[in-house]
Amino acid sequence: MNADDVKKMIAEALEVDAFEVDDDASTETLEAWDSLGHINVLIALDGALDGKVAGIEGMKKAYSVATLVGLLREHGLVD
Amino acid sequence: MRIAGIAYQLASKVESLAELQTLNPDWRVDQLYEKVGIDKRYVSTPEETPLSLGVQAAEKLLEGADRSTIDGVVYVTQTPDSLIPTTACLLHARLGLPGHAFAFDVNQGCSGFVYGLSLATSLLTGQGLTRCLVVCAETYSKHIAVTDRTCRPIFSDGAAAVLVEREGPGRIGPFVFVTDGTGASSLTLRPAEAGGAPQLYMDGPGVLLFTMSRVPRAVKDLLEKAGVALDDVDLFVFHQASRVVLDNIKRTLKVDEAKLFRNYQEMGNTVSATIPIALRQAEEAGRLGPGRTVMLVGFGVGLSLAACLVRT
Repeated sequence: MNADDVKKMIAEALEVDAFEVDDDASTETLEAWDSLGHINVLIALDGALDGKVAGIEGMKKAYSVATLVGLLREHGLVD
Repeated sequence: MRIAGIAYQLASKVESLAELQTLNPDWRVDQLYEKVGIDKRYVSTPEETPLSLGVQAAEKLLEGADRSTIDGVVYVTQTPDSLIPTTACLLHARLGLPGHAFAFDVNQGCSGFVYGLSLATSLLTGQGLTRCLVVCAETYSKHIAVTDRTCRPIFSDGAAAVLVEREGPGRIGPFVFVTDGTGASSLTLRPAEAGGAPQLYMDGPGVLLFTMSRVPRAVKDLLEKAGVALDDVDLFVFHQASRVVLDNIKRTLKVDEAKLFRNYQEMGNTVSATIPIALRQAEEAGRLGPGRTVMLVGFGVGLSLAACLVRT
């Protein structure tokens, strides 16, 4: 999985168009990315990454593409 | 050791998601329902308290029973009617329990029933007692504004009373416990800004991540401790937190839907009373016959988790 796959997954979880989730997307830029939306994002990523996402510290406040991808990369889950 | 009986009492006022939509026109209740899965909940009136609901549940359970043989009561609540004295003593008096009975409160939330059950079974075994009550009662709604989109569509008020007996068919245990106090702020009571009742605050993603990361591991630990395989469990009664939580547990553990008990849609999340209410409803639905292995898993505020097996 790479960063583009993560962005695509976030878009699907938030039910927004893929182009809206760019590298700078966050809870500040996307109305759909509220706490309920974040729950959808976490569940989608955890499901796709074999249940390895939920245990990552900092994930609950990873409210941007950059932070999410960074954390996943740090744990070897994203190229 | 066995659970000899369960009765419950829900708060008297029903509040539907449709009513919340009327009160909060800006809410997307379709999205909320898709995630939370709760149609209606029970909300206490000002006159209804955890103690009054607990007494009603216990009175239903003990109707016609010999109360002189009850050796104690474990009262589980996080919103006690009284801090001094412990509310369990008030419950003891209201129920007319005998003088030799122990009575104490346990401050636990969603994991509270399993905690209460572990204490009851330990006391019955260790002290050579015969039977005791575990009463779980909660009225979280008194601390949630109707405009709170995170908590209001989830929590429900109610109480359950359970009679645990040392003798009889069946088995209760083993137990496993998990605590993550670093997540304490994820679900807590905060002082009200205008000096009213303290308000419940929940960081949904924080609680969800605890559930996602710790429930599957605890289930595996419990199965290993009991020497039982996942397929040997006939019924899973998880805390009825919300649809999204149960769906996620089901997916992660690969639990068959037919073995999963769900009642949140019509009941909401009644905190510590949730699991005993679910057990009673499972029994009424014919899903708890003799010789069944049932797994109970409570999790949430704390952050805290407690799980056990019950052999009927």
